[in-house]
Amino acid sequence: MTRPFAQVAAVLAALFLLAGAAQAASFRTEAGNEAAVRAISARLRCPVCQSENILDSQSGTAREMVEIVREQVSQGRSEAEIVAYFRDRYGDYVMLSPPASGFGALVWATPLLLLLIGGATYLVLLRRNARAFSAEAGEAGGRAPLTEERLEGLEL
Amino acid sequence: MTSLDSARRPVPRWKWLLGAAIVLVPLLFAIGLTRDPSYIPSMVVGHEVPAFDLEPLAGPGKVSSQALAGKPYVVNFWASWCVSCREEHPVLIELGRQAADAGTFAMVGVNYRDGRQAALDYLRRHGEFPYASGVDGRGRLGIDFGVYGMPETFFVDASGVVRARHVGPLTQEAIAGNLRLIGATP
Repeated sequence: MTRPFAQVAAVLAALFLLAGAAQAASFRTEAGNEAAVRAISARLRCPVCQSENILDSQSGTAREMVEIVREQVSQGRSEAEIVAYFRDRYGDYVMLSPPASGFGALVWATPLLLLLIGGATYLVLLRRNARAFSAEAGEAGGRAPLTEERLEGLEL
Repeated sequence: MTSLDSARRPVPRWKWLLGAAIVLVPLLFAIGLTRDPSYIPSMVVGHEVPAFDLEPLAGPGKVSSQALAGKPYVVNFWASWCVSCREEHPVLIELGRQAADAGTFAMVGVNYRDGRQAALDYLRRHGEFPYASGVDGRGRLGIDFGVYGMPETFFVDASGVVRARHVGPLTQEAIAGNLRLIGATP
C-alpha cells in the first residue's frame, strides 16, 4: 500500500463516518420531535369533536392543529408555550385534563375531599359504635362469660 | 332499638347532611345535563380581533383586518359544505346590503376550509354576497378565532375589539343585539 492511497482512504473513511453520524443525529432529533408532537397533541382536545384528542381525530381542524403543534415543536417552542397558544384560542376546553388552577383545581380536589370526608365520617361512626357497644356490654355485666342463663335473656 | 325510640330522638346532623347530599348531587347532575357539552366559550370576545390578510375568493386585492380597521365590522365564517350556512345565506345578503347602504359598518366573509370552485359554485347557486370573502383554505384563521361550529359570526367594534360571537345561523334578533354592541345601527 502506498502512502497517498492510505491517506485518501483514511479521509474517505472519516467522511463516511461523519456523514453517518450526522444522519443518525438528524433522525434522532426528528424522532424526538415527532414524539413530542404526539405527546402534546394527545393532551389537546379536538374542538369540533367531543372527548377526542387532536392526535386521534380525523377531522380537518384537528389535523391542522397537529400540523401547528409540529411547526411550533420544530421552532423549538416548549410544551407549555404550545398548550398556551391553543388555550388562548379555545380556552380550558382544549385541554383534555383540566388545569390545576382556578375552577380546574376544584375538579382535581373534589375526589380527594370526598375521600377525606367519607373516611372521617366512617371513623367517627366506627368509634361511636364501639363506645355504644362497650357501654351496653358494661350494663350487661361487663365481660362476664356467656352462660346458659344469659343466653336465654338475650333476644335472638 | 325500636321505631318508637328513634322517633323520640332528634335526627342526627350527619343524616341531615346525607339527605342534603342525596338531593343536591342529582340536582347538580340535572343542571349539568341540560347544558350543551359541545359549546365552547369564546376566548376572542373582549380581545383584539386576530389579524388577517387573506386572498379574496374572487376579484383583486386582499381581505385584511388592517383595511377594515377604524369602523365596526362583521366577520362571517362560511363554507359550501356547511348545511346551516344555507339557512342564513339570505340573511347575510340582506345584512350586506344594509351595511353598504348605511355605511356605518362593514361586512366581510371568510370562506373556511373549502375548495375555491365549490365556494364559487355555491355563491352562484345561492346568491353572491354584496361584500368580499377571504379564503382560509387550511382554517388557520378559524383556529385564531376559536371557530368550532359552522357558521360563526364575529362582531368587531371600531377600536378593533371583538364584542360578540354568534354560533349557528344568524337571526334578526342576534344581528340587532350584536350590532348595537359594536356601535353600528343598520
